[in-house]
Amino acid sequence: MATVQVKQLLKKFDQNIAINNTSLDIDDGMFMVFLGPSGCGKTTTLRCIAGLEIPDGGQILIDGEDVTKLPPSARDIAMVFQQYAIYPHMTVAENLAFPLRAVKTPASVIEERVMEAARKLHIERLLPRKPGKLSGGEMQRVAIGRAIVRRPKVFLMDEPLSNLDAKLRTEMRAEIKRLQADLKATTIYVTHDQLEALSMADKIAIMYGGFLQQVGTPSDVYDRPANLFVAGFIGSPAMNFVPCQLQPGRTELLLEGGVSMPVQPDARSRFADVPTGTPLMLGVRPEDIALRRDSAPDFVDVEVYIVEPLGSENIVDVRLAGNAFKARTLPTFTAKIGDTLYMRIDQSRAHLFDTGTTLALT
Amino acid sequence: MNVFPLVWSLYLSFCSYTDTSHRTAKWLGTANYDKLLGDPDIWKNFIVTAQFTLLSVGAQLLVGFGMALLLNRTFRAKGIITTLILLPMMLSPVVVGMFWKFLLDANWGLVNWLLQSVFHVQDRAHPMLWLSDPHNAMWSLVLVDTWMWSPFVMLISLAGLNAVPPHLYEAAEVDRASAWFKFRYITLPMVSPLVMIALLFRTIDCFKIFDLVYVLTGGGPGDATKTVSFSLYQKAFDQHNTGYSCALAYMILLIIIGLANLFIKYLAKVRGEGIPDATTLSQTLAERTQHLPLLGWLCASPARLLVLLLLGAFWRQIPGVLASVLGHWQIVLGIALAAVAIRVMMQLPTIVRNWLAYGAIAVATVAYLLPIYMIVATSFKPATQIFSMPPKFVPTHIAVDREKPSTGYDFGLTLKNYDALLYKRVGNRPDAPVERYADFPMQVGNSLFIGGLSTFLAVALGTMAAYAFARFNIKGKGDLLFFILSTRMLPAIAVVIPIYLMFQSLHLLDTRIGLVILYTVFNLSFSTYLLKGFFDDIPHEYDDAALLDGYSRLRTFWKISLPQALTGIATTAVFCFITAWNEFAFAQVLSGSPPLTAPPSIIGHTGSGGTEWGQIAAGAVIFLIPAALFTFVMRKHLLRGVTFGAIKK
Repeated sequence: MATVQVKQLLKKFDQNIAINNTSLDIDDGMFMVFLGPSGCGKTTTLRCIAGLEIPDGGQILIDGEDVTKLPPSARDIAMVFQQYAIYPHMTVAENLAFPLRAVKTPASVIEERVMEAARKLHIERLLPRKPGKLSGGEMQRVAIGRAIVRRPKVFLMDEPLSNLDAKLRTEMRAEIKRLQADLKATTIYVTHDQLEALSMADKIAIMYGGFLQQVGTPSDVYDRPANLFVAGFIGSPAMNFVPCQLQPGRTELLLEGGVSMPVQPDARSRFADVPTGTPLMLGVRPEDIALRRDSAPDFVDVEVYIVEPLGSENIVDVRLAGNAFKARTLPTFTAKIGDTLYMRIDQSRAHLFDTGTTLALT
Repeated sequence: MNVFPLVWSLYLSFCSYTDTSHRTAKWLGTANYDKLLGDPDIWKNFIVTAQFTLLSVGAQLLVGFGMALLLNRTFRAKGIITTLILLPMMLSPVVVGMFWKFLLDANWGLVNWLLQSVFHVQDRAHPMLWLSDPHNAMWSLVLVDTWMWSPFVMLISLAGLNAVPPHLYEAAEVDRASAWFKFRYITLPMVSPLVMIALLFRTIDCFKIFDLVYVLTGGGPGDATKTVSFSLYQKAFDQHNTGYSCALAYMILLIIIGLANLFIKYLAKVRGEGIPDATTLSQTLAERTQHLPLLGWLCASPARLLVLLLLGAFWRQIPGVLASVLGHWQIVLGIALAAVAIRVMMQLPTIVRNWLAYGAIAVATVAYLLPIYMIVATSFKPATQIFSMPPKFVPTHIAVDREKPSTGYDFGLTLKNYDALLYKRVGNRPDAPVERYADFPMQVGNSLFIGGLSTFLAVALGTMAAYAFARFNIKGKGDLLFFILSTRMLPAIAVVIPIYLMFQSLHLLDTRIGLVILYTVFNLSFSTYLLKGFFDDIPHEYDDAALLDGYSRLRTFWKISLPQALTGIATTAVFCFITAWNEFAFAQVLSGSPPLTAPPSIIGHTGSGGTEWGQIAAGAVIFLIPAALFTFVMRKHLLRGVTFGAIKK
């Protein structure tokens, strides 16, 4: 197994910059997830690491060795493709054996490794079959199997679960994570699905528009988003955003629409360094909003816009002076459209962002 | 119109009948067939045909697939070079045959000159007798057919190569596979189904070859290149042995229908949804291997049994054919060399490989353009410079009267050949005043008229039929399509006999309207099938929406489907027109003297000084212009047209 370092990576397609000055360190045995919307440069970064794209600048090091100019075959990496890239004219066994046969491995070793991989992925009975008749999940297992027979330095996975249905995706998620833990393999995994990223990653690198936005553990990026993009991208339902200003004296928060909120005592230290009088963005996660039917100190009155019952919880959409808030409540909390409720924002867990730079200030 | 001639000729095949006498047909029972199966000459013709087919299809596979591999990379001018190489297959076989006859001439042909003076592999005192030596004549046929049709194999192979998903190669690259490994285990197996289709097409076409034989060798020398189609032509129209030739026609029909059926079955499997993607391909392959228990495979279709029965009938001939083909050590050597070349190429670094490929592409382009250039050049040469050695390539000046043969490569430009083709002058002297137009302008006009009108009719009727096929659930749809396709694959010569007789009694022989009817019917099946594919491509939701909005079916067709199918209709029209424009066999047989249309006329320009090559070249140039033009206009849709809409891009 190995470490991977990406240094000041730059990649252009014609005049469009796909990756802009991205640097990353991936430790030995780490499960690293590249997360971002389509077109953010995550797949391009992965393909640069694989050697399928030649970067226009920067370096890629595997185990400290500069591989930037080496072809994919010289990097000792294995890759699982979004479209699986299973060879349709070969049986599953032949597919699994392909990477070993390509480098002239003795037949006995091939046999042994193929069986081992098939056992790990529970696909022994599929070995003599052709891929045409396999389900999506089975194809995916074969694709992963073809990567693990290699025992490569690094596993690269390019949205491997995006072609599966929701239920299968949840299952495979756990299975890939377990497999990675067993193999202790350095893995780079690309996805646009934040749930996959949060549930599988040791570390998440969030990318947007060719720029690396934040690298951190799942709880880092969830609880301490570095900027507005990360804050909005992670979490479902997404974080609520309201333009606001911190009044001079830092005792009052003036929301757009004229509602004024006193700064809660336990939030004072959080807001201590926030500049006053400049346009800010208040970010609150739905679970950090409390709703009740009767009024109480610190609570402001809001109107119910819509209620979405989700079974395990209810999402209540309320309006405060023209600003929309989604609040997460217990499934027992019910309300009707037009009801008046009372709302409190937990400021100790809320975030303030600079509207100009979009950076987090808290 | 499609069926009647076949039934009639079936009846005649059991009779003694000749079209020159007015006696009614006399029932003979199976006598014709008995005679046929016992006739050693016919067997010899079949062997010649089989030889030609094997050699020619093999050569086209090598050349066509090779060129596809070369062209399957990005470089500048790729589009234009590909189109230029594709040009020959859009041209009329008789015209191509005619100018190759010119190029292959033993004494003043370009080919021998190249071999003697440029490559120095031939002794000038003993020129290669391409067409008059029995052994070489077959090779000449193969050479010309390969030149003309390798681009077809190339076109389909290119489509196959493009259809291989790039991520398969990326996966292999990451998995450390070498270039050869990728080619052997990914490219070859993924492309082979499409290449098989191309080969089946070519096999059927080679089997019924007539035009090329007619112009190049006339079946000779001796019987060396007399294919069954040509032999049939001689029996029916030189010897007027109608009943007997109908029997022979039927045998050819059976073989072709068998082959066509195999082909269509295979096509249906590979086709899936248009271009085969990875999954349908793999399914095809999986199904194919499941059939391996031979018995199941055979029982699957009566057509296969038929082919096998025929094979059984020819059983004793097979070793002979194989021996004669394999006996040509050049072939075995060629295949081995090609394989070694590919293997070695794969070991080279990409840059070297690319440069080698560019070199090979340049050679192929020259091989494809030189003959065409020579014919254009010849059409502008004064008679004295057409045959003089070395060949004249460069026009340097306007020719004067009594131009002397030059010793270099330059020649003088003249329009005399075109003049002779267009005008008939008093006393046939070139400087005399014009008496009237010659026959040729009229024939070109006829070709345009017949081609245009029949195309219009075929496309108009075909559009409606295709819409019906595409949108309604018609009983027996599949069978009808099969029928349509197999009539299209029939050799013209085999169906022309009953049509000739029909036209004779309807007084349609040598009339424009007769040919219009014939070409309309001949093209209708093709246009219907091709158009159906285009209509299938338009989502039926558009129609559904219009119908829900209160449009009638007719208005829906007119306002919604038709405008969206316009490109398809234009493509179909071009292919119909080119077919009618290039058609030779029917025109030759059904029109008198001088012939009604241009193709039979071009090859017939013999004057007092023998064959008038200058005029032939001029005629060919005029005649080739529309086909060449359309090839360029339609290059994006060529693939679909030449495979009868079987492969879409």
